[in-house]
Amino acid sequence: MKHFITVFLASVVLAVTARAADYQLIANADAGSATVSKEDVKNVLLGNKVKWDNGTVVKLAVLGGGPAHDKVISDFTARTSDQFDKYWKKQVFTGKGVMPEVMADDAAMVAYVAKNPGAFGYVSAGAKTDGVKPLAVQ
Amino acid sequence: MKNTKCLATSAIISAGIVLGAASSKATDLDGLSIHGSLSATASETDNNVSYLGDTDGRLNLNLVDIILNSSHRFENGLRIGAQVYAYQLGNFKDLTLDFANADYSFSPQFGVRVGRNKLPHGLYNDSQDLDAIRTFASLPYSFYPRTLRAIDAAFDGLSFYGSASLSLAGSLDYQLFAGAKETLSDGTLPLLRGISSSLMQFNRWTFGDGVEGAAIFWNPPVDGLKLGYSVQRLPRTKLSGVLGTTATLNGDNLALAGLVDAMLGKGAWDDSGVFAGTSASVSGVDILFRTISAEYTTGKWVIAAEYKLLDELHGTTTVPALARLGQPTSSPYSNHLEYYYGMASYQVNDKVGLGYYYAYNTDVRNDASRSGNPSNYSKDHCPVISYNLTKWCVVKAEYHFMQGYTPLGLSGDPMPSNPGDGKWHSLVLKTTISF
Repeated sequence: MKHFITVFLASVVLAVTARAADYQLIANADAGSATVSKEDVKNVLLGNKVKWDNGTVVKLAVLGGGPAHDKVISDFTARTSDQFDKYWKKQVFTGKGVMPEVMADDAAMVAYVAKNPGAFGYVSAGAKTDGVKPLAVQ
Repeated sequence: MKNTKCLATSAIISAGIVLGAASSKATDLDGLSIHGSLSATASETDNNVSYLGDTDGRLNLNLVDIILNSSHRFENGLRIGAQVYAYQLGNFKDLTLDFANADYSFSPQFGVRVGRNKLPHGLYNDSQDLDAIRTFASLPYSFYPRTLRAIDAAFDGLSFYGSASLSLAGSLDYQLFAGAKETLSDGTLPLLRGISSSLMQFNRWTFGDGVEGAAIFWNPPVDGLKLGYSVQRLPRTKLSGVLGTTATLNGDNLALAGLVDAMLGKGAWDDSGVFAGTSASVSGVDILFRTISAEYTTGKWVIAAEYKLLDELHGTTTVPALARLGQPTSSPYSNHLEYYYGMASYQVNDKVGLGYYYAYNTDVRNDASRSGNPSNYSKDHCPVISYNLTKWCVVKAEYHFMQGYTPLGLSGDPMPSNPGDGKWHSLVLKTTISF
């Protein structure tokens, strides 16, 4: 019985961890803090926040599609990926924003974020994040 | 028709076709981001009604438009951008500067835009040209009339904007703006032709005190819901023109010309220089738009509804020629119009979208004796289907079951001589490439 409970609890923990680790938020290594608020992530994804607290311009990069992209957009902006895409088209064509950079895959995302000060993006859980700073959501 | 701009218009359209066909992605030139879209619309109507071109009984390519924009954000956060919009609507062509602005965001709560800015009003005024972001080929004809963008697409001035968290109450998005409005001075513009009566042919519209207004949207703590209030005021506007000839007059106005000829001699109206061709104006008009809006996005559904009041107040109509008939040359002018619609769209899958809206408009809100005339109202039932050929190319087909002719009052198309029950139909086919 004790063994069953242990296995059950371990499964629950693994499930919760896996759910939270569907993606990893990343920023350029020069980013000041390793934590970011959920509100800030939302404002960055929607173009409302264009500068970090240290004055560096935010360079937003998004994935072209995939489960990590869908989950990030859903978790932080309450939109589907299609609605997010249309939101940004509206921002650009009404003179309110610059389209985010679109990355083909995790490797391209990490390369872009590593190279550009102020860059922010996300990758699939388990993707290599050498040269960038993983961010935790407060 | 603006012939002097045809070459530029053609060049823009050609460049857009090349860029649109070559790539589905925006072009990036050394940090300068370039985007655009190209749309082509064909329409067919019936029952002796033409709408936005020669569409009665024939499928006519009546609207082609192209958008090109470019923007850049500097390392200090300043963003600059510009967009040109070229279109052919029926027989009218134009090339306009849609926006050209500098934008600085101090924080998510406060930013400033200076220059030519898109004019925010309601849910979709500033995005009415963006076919790629919605299921419908046309926004409701009467609520967002195509030709009204000549005055409500943009303004030159200042905007303050921001998004403020209200904690447990959600968030608030706001835009406050004020500035100047460009004078309309081309009598062939569909809007000026549309608002001209048979008696007064308008060829100029000035906006003495510019425009001021606000658009405020509350995002309550319900994912996908937003509620808004927009107001836009254009004080001291003036429409100027001339009295029409007997060739353009009809109804009571033609009877008036006949009376003049009977009193002063045959041809007096057309040839004396006292009537036809002399000045007429409607001046001092304060125009006020007020709209309440609601939009709910959940999963693959988008549901929206809006209600708008348009008031034209404190105006004076002046016709100096009336002095020859011993009549007062000036009289007060006002007008009240009411609009509303409800729409729903559903994205079935990555390819197919479905939608439906019902829209209603009347230009005689409180005058029951005239409200039954189909020239004074419109009803629009509109189903649509859209299909994404690729991620950057969409085709749409929609059908309007119309009753009433008020959309024609702004399009420059003639009202049917025999209104009957006011029923007519409009088929719209549209394709858009965007990048």
